[in-house]
Amino acid sequence: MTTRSQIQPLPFRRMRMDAALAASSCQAVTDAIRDIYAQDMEKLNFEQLYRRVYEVVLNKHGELMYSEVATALMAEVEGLRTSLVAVADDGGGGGSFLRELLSKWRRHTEAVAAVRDMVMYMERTFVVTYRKVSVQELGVKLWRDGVVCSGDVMPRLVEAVRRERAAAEPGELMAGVAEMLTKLGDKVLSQVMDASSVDDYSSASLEKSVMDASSVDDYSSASLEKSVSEYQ
Amino acid sequence: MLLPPHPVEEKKRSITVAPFECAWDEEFQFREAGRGCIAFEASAHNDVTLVFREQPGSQHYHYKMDNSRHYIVILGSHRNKRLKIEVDGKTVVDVAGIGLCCSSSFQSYWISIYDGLISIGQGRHPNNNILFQWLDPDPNQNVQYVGLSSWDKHVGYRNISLMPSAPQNSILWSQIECAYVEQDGAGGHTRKQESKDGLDQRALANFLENWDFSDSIFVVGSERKVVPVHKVVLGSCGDFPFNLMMSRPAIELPSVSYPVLHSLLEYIYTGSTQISEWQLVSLLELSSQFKVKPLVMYCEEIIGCLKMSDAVSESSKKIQLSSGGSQAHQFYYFPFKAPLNTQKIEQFLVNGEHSDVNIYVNGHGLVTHAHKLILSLWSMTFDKMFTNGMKESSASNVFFEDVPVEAFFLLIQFMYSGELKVDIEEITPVLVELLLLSDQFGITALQFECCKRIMEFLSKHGHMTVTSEERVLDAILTWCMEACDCFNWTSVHELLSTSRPQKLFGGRLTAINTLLPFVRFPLVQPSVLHLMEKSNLAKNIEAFRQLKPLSYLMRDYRWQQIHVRDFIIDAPAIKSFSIFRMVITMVLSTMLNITVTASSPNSRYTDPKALVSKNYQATCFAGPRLEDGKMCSWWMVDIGPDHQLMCNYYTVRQDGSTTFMRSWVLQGSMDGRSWTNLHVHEDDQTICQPGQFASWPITGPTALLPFRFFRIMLTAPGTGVSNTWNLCICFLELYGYFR
Repeated sequence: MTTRSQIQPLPFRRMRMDAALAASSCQAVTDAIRDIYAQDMEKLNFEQLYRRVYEVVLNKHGELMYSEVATALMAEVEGLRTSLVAVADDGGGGGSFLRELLSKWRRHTEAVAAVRDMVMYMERTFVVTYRKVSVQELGVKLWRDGVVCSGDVMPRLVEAVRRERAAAEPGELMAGVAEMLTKLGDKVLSQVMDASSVDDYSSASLEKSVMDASSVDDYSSASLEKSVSEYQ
Repeated sequence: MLLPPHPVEEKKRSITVAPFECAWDEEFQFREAGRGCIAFEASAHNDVTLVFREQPGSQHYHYKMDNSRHYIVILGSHRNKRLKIEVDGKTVVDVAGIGLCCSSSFQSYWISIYDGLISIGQGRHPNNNILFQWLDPDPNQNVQYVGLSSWDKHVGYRNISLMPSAPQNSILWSQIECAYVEQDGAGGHTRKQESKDGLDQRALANFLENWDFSDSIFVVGSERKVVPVHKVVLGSCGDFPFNLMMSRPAIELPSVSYPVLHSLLEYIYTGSTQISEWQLVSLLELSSQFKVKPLVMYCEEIIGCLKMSDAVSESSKKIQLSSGGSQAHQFYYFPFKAPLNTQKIEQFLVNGEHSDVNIYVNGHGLVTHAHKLILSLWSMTFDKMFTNGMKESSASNVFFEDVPVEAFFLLIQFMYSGELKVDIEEITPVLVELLLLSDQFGITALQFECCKRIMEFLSKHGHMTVTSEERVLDAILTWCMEACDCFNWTSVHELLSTSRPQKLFGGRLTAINTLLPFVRFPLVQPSVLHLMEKSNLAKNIEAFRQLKPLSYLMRDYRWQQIHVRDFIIDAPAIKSFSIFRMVITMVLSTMLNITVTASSPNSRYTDPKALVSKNYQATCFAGPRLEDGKMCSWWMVDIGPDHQLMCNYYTVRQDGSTTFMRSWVLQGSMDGRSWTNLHVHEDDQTICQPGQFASWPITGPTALLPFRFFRIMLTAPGTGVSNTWNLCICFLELYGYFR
């Protein structure tokens, strides 16, 4: 058996990436994040961005990439907050504030989803191996701590929600707010609800809208089913 | 409706073992005694029996009569109720309901043995879907031949492949495992709920009546309901004449009701559907109109049955129609199931029919015409690329850069056929590229397939598996001698007794100097090191002598493997070894952030820094503390959350005192709370001088477990008269595979 002839030398590419190259790739990715938040995605090249992330992570600069992405997201969230705070109170029940908040929230979640697609390789490898917070969760966390719970948004939100709840039926707007708060976690939800409670009737109606919102949410409905089955 | 058998698998033999017989074959042999893995498919009523022995037995071998040492694994013992493992005739494991074998079809299993650690699992890929694991306290290191046996019924075996048994924490398998997306093998009619966040890989069922990638429509019923479909899916199981004149190819079906069309599409996309009895005839008509043959046959059959029982009525009873899923487990990762015709899908790649995207590789040009739907079914990366709204989502030409063309085309081919179309003997470099690509694009099934091929290849070419550092040395010597066969260093030693190194190695004598430092001698058994030191190699080869203090290694030597080492060097023969080593075993790094703690508070004489510095400390100890009412003293090393060490050797140095430790343990832990014993010493008299170094190997399977924390702990007082509970060591070093 002339097995020896079958051993072929591998033309293995020496993939070594210096810090400068890694940094420039990270720069490209953070630029892309800015474009994504500016809703200017058409011109971005997915293949190129994905490959840059892949190469950076593969060459053990995952930590750099992760922190750059986190920083960029934080900056964008801060930008959204600034423009949200700049919205003038219309005096008519804070409706325009809530509308603006929701549209920004939607923009944020869409952008985070797009960013997550772009850094999917990092999510699959680096984030898992080093037990980092996934980009999805990071997006929620940044929104919660950076926007909703910040000093200049929370009071206005509570005020707007209170007025909204004082109005008879919880409208579409309220349902949207409830859905957002559910995603942000129980703590924020109860914080807003307690602070904005008016009377028994409307707090019940808000709870109802929260329930409606949460039943849309896969996770909550699954946990609800679970608790029901446990009860049985 | 059944797919033709897998052409690659076909080549592999199948065996039927008669009752109380046993099949042996030279091929059913582990390359390395005591370590190996067999993957196979079996079909039986009960007692799928595998024998592991040092030597092959006879056809009429029966394990009840075997006197030599062996392992027996029985899947479905006691009338297919229990899993049994026997060691040398004694039952050591007997558990209910694990790893049963069902008679009707072949099922895949693997059994891996690694230094007495017996693992049994289901499926085609070792270390995946593990069912049971058992560790022999007295490992039989000699088992090498596998016998396929039976009890009182015939047992069919097929697709038997032997692989080296990678330790479970091998990077090769473990990295994939966590990323592996479990696809529902049943291909059931329950539509998998699409996750709201879009995090899950989509199955074909997710595309049923979905606008994503849809390239044509049905306009159905009098209400002209529009239903999106995909030509590539429909075209693979029937003949659908779309009207190409319209802006979007369409078929108008004014006289068909939507539920019937829905049933047809559901059957095509998911493999099963339900329909009311009274609509069965319309479904038959519709499916024969579009030549969806399996469904036509199915409907006819059911209508026939109903006629026989004279029960054709206008009843609205639902009838379940589903395609045979019996081959589903064989292709469990394959997204296209019956009634889709896989040959047609492969054909679509060849002729580019219904293609909606052109794949280019920069620097090469057009690679192929492809289908977004098919690419998306395999890889979430492609799915997102085509849907997330960036440039590629609207483009029909997609450009890839920095990908090897040959491997990339194989990757696409795999997505259409579910097979790796490479000749295993020739093409290992491509296989490695393909492995990297499948990781890049997150195609788990292909990663598995590549790993399996590489393992099989390495198993066939035993001399390519790096089982020990001696083999690396052998390879270096072989290459330097420009020899055709692999030389053992002992034979080189004999050659050198009559020949000069200049003659033996010729022009490559200098290469030895370059290559020898790549052998990690510290990992070689001490006894072998002694032999090497006395051998003609050390006598005649200058570089070998310079490596000397070989035996000194065992006492006090800053072992090198904690330093970054570049495995890829320019000598071709070594290269393939290095790649394998790099892929499979380890990546080293210096980025160590070590924390050392002692059982007693830090003090002048209990200094964690001193323990890991090379400097000798005359007084350095960890004092005792009470833990759970027991006295103990220890030194603990934490190598940080980002690293683990598979420790296989360790060294301590006694401080200047005469309180020598006698009974102690070296333990490892992942969390710092639950500890695993790596080496237990009971009344070990090794240390008998102040300042003495002592080293011990860690043998057995625990040497292959990665840990973050290590501690050395006294289990009984040491020698001396006072402070016998002090752990008086001033230096601790751990060696092994680090990541």
